[in-house]
Parts: sequence; structure tokens; C-alpha cells
Amino acid sequence: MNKQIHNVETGEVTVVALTDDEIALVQQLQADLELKTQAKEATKAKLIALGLTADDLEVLGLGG
Amino acid sequence: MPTIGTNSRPAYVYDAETDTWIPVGPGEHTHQYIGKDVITTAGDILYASAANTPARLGIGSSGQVLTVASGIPSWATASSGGMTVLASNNLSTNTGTLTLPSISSAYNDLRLIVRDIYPTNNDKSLGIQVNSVTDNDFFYYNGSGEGQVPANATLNVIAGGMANTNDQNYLIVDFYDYANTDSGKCIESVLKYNEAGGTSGRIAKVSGCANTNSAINEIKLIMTDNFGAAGSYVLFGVK
Repeated sequence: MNKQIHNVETGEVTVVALTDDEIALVQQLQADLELKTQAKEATKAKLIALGLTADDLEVLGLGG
Repeated sequence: MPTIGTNSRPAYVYDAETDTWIPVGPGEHTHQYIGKDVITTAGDILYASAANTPARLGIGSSGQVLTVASGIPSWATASSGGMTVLASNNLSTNTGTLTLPSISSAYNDLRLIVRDIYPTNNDKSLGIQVNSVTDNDFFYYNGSGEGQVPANATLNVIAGGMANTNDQNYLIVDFYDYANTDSGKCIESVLKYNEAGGTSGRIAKVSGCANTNSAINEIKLIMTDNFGAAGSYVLFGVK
């Protein structure tokens, strides 16, 4: 994975590889998203089991 | 009528309006006009440094404005009310992180605008980090949920679950009082995007704080995938 560096002082633009720490940060950000998506889907399944419809979920902001 | 001059000249012309003989032609003599040799460089401006004294004012730096100091014009950095472009370019499609280092502390606020931002693949996240600070608090609202993320978040998450489509996507991020060295740095962002497998035209709003009392000198925009084509960004310094 690469990053684009735009030095604001000099205007120089370069493309270099991410550092290990930066790769870890990207992976953590994506992992957090997947955990959150799983939790959301699990909650939606519970609500559907309770009889809520897709429209109900949309009203609750869980349609996406 | 005054007496005509006696110096060697090719010719004199009498100006009845001013009742003077004016020398014309080659040779050293005085004319009542400003010689073009006063302005020597592209961008020069003519002004009077004193009565009847033409002078040049060399062009200022990009973003400077014309002002007055000690009774004469000069170029200076705008003291208020202006937005100065600090950096502007396209997003490289073989990158997923945009880093903007070496930001001057000379402004009151910063504003980052990113047009047409989306990931190459579906269902990706976008975050922002300043000075590599890993202690952040933020509150998000994106139409499908909201919540407070407590301290020690590694960065401010702008949006999760972005679709790999560009629906006139647009991101604007404000960094208020970014150069203060006394307290944390408040950040506000608004992103328009399509949600993967969900609603088109989502709006994600995030209010965050980077817990550092150092002036912001670096901004990182982090996508968990490469940027899609057509993206571009502008960083403004705001007075």
C-alpha cells in the first residue's frame, strides 16, 4: 500500500510505501468496520426475529 | 516666452500651455515622463516613494495582498478574512493515504476539501489523523447510526462502509484554531458518499477532537483501500 505525500511548504508531491505502523492503522480501521458491520447485522437479525420489517429497520436507521 | 536653451540639441518644441521649451531627440535631457527602466521585473508596480519620485514595488509572494505601511504600498500576508490555497492536487489512484506535512502555523483555521473521494473496492472506511496523534474523541452521525467514540481512538473515523462508487462524493473538513499550543484540536467533517449495500447519497457528519496541545503540522487522510479515480483535494489556510 502506498501513500501520497504533498509537502505543504515546498509543494513537492511524492508517492512512497506505507510504514508498518501505518499499515497496522489501516488494517485496524478496516477491522473495526467489519466488527461494527457484524454487530449491526446481528442486531438487525434479532429485530427481524421479533417481527420488525425492512421498513421498520429503515425508520430505526438500520436499513443500510 | 522664455529664452530657448543653448545646449546642443537636435530640436526644441515650445509648449505654450506650460510656456516652456521641451528638448526632443537624442542626447541627455529631461522629459516629464517615467522611464521604463524604473520597472525592471515582471509584476513590478510603479508608485511614488516621495513627491515626484517614481519607484518600483517588486511583486509579492503568492497569496499576499497589497497594503499600506508607513504611507507607501507594500505586499503583505492577508491579516484577516482570506482563504489561501496551501496545497492542491489530484489523488493518486495507486495510494490510499494522503499525507500533508509541513503545514504553516500562520493561519487561524485550516479547511480541507476532497472532491470525488471513494475507494477502489466496496465497503471501505475513511479516517483522518493529525500529527499521528493516537488519542482522539469523536462523535459521528451518518443517517444509519450515531455514537460517541471515547478517548484513545487512534483517529477520527469519517465514514465506514463506503461504496466504490462516485455519486458526486464530497468531503469537507475544518480544523479550528489548529495552531494553538494550549489545548486539543477540534475537527468537523461532512462527507457525502454512497453506502456499500445500502443507501445512496449518505451524509456522514463527524465532530472530533485530537487530544494534543501541539499545533497541527500534518494531516493524514486514510482510506482502507486505494483511492478511486478522479479524486482531488485542496487545503486552505483560513485567516
